Amino acid sequence: MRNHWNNCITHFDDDVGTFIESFFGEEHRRCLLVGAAGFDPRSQRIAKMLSDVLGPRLSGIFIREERGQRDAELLGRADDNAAALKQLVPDCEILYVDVFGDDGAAIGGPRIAAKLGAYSIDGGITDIVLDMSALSIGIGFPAAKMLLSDCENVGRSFHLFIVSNPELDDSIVSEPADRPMPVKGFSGSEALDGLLDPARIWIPQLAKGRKAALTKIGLSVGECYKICPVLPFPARDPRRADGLISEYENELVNEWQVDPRDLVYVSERNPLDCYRTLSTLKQRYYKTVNGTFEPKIVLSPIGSKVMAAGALMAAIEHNLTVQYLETVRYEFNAPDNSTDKTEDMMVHVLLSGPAYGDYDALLRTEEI
Amino acid sequence: MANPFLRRATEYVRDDASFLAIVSPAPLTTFLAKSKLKEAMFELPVRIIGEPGSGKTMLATLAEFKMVETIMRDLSTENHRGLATALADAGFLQDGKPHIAAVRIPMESDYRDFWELPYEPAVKTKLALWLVQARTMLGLLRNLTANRRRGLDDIRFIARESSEAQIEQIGGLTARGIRDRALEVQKAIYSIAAGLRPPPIENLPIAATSPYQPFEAIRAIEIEWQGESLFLSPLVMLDDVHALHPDQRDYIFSTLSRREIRFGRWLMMRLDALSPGAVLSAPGSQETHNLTTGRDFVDIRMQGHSERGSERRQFRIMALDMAKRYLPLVQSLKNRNADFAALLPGEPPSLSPGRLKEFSALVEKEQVKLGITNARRQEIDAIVSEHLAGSQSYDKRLEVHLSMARILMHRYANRVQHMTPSLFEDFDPDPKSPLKADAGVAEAARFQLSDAFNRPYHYGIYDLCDASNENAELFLQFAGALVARMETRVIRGKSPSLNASAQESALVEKARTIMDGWSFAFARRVRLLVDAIARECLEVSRSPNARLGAGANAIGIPEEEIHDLLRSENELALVLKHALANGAIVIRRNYGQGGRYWCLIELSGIVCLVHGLTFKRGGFLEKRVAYLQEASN
Repeated sequence: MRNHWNNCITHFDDDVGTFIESFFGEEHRRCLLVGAAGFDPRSQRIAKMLSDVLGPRLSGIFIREERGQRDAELLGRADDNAAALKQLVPDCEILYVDVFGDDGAAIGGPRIAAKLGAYSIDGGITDIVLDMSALSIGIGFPAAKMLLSDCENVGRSFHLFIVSNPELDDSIVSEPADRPMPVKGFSGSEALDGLLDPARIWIPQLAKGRKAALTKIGLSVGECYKICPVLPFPARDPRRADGLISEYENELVNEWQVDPRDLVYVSERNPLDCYRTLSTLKQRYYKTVNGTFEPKIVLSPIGSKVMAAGALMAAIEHNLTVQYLETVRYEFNAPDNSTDKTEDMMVHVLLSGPAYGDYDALLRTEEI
Repeated sequence: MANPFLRRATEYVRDDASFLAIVSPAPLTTFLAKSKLKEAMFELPVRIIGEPGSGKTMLATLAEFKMVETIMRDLSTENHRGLATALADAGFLQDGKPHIAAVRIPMESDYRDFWELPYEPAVKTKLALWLVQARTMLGLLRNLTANRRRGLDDIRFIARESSEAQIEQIGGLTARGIRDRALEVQKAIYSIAAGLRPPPIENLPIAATSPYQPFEAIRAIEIEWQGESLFLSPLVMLDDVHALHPDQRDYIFSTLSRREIRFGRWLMMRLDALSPGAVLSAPGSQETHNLTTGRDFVDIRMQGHSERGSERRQFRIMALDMAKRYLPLVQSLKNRNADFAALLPGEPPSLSPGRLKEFSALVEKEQVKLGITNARRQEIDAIVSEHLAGSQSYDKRLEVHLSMARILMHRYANRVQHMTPSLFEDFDPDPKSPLKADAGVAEAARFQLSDAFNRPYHYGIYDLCDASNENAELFLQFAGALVARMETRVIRGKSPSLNASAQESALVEKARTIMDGWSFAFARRVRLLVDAIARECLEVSRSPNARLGAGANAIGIPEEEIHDLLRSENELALVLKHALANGAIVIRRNYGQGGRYWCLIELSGIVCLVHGLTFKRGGFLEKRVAYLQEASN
């Protein structure tokens, strides 16, 4: 049980910079940054902030997701980002990960797990930072779970950083693959046939332009007792949730037959809101069907990375299934500079480390 | 209000009773009951191959024991009686009692992950196969006890002769023993594949490595049925086998092909699981794993398995049956006792008087331009009238007559253009081959009216069926779009039936949405290819003399070139395979014309709808493989 996750140490926007300066400014800190070296313009933000403060005390692993069908323009952007990251973090390694196998199946998860498993982390590292901003779910989630387990075993601090920009996310168009599957390491108990009939709840996170992907995931999840779509609210654009409801009208009404009371609203800015909501939902649901059905919860966090981080925490803590659909190809329509540019939102979550001391033990004592 | 047609798959139907209310038994009859190899289906491995949405999962769900039991317990409804007849024809019932205990095991989830484990292929396959067997046993027990008619103690497994050694491995022959062992095996094997760090091979748990082969050990199951004991043959239906790695699939298929196995095993997969050669039915490219179809295994193709005309007719019956079951579930149409076909009248559209006058003037102008005498025009009109009078088509309006006459005038002008005019008479020679009006000319006339005057072209129940390319899910999607419009009309207090124009616009809009939503492998190249073919077909179909009759909707590539392509490593073969497997094109091999054999690449109903092409088959443009390469890039 990670009781401290309910009240995790978090920082937002400008406070993230302040935190980095004060926390990583301590001379004894040596940090390993794990992030993406793809086309996403957010790839460099965190690396730059950390390298400014840590200098040579920062090392890095940058993951390059190889998807086969390459777009020359995106490839150019990715190369530029990789070169810039190398300059920012000279002590770094770039890991090339094939996202698809020779038969077109998504195998990024097993591949990143094997690569990270083979990587030996220097014993002097005090902090590991995972920058989820530009990592896909299929790679980012297994990496997070492995790194968290390493940090918990040896008592290192594990930080999650996300640079999020829902408007920028909307300008990245992705072509989904054709086989939904559980994220590696996040199969939960979904595939274990029990003695009782399963009663499944599917919790898809609605995102603009991802209808085809969610429909396929929904089909692969199969018979559900309930479907509870997650919508961003509060959100920077207060009408975003309404827009999504209107975009998914056919799915909500005809295909999934969602009861309007089952919509789940979580903050677009704070991953803990998503985590707490999903945790409460899980606890209540398991209590309700206990002994009658085999409760199963399946998450599909394919939209905003901040909300996905909350889902990641819930999936790790409660051993939930994460069903997703890999992306075959991205198209990125870089926003025109002349139009109103929306600012990036930044989030930091400290998931584990000495900072929490014996928080969990104290909490247990208080409960007794 | 929910529109049941728009629920894309039966997977979403939440309880058995609702499923049985809408499921059509037609796939059982069409694909299983009429098969020549029906007898062998519960003994040999069976591969059921079809496009996405062709009804594989629906078929498997209907055949599961719990469904069969639900149907047989209550034969008071006509629906259940119909399903029971179809199940009996397909061999699932014998003497009015269940004969098969079937269970569906979805393969799409995590079996592929086993192939990524750092062990030998034989070890990886064994682990996956044992997990399949453990889940099958659990699924079987769940199915047999699902309707709460019997407990675990009322189920007994019967071993195959000389399988004593294997009985202990599977936990004995009692249901409890088998269940406990299956749970143990499942948990042990699953923990290996699901973890992020696979254990070294020497540290694999004993429960995962000790032999476990219930498929080889069990031959029958004994249960209590209405007071007497009943012996059932077990059957596992592995659904979505295409999700496995090809090598993994081959290993599993050859293991399941062992003759000692008395457990029925069906492997249901999508077309794209096969190699391009096998998908495109290249002679000699059947993937047989050194086994022979019919003797060692049975193949059932859900599309392209029989003569195409009869396939279309069969599908129309099945589709109408499905629509008949779905329609009463639409709330706003429920009380009208409406017949689906009647809501889509085939009443031909008509041009407005103004447009008709404009068209008539245009034809007269062309008559003058082509130098056709009034006498010849009268003769042409008589030919057209004679054809239309005897035609079975209901679309015989004046504009069709005019358009047909226009085509025949152009044909006449072409046929006499090299004849020498006489100085002393009107130039009105008889052409060497006489003019003839037929169904092809009539179809071309309707196409040209649609192209030039937006006169509706695709409407009526048969066009709806043909647009679906024998794919049940596609049919429901198109029908759903039409039903949505009917609902709107009802809400506005109008009659729900849609005229030709409303039908066509709903179908085209839906087809466009489907094409925009294509997201399978090579979807972008497939889209480029079909759009390029459609553009060329349109151009040829527009020719005023309608040289290809009803028009073109296909291209033909010389057989030998396609043969070479399929044997090569060229990516184009994969593009064609995915286009075919996902319903963008239809392939017809060895089509003989002009002394050559052609591989016809026909555009599917969706593409024809979007581009306004004919559904009639046969008109094609002669092309080379290089054209495909160019068009798809």
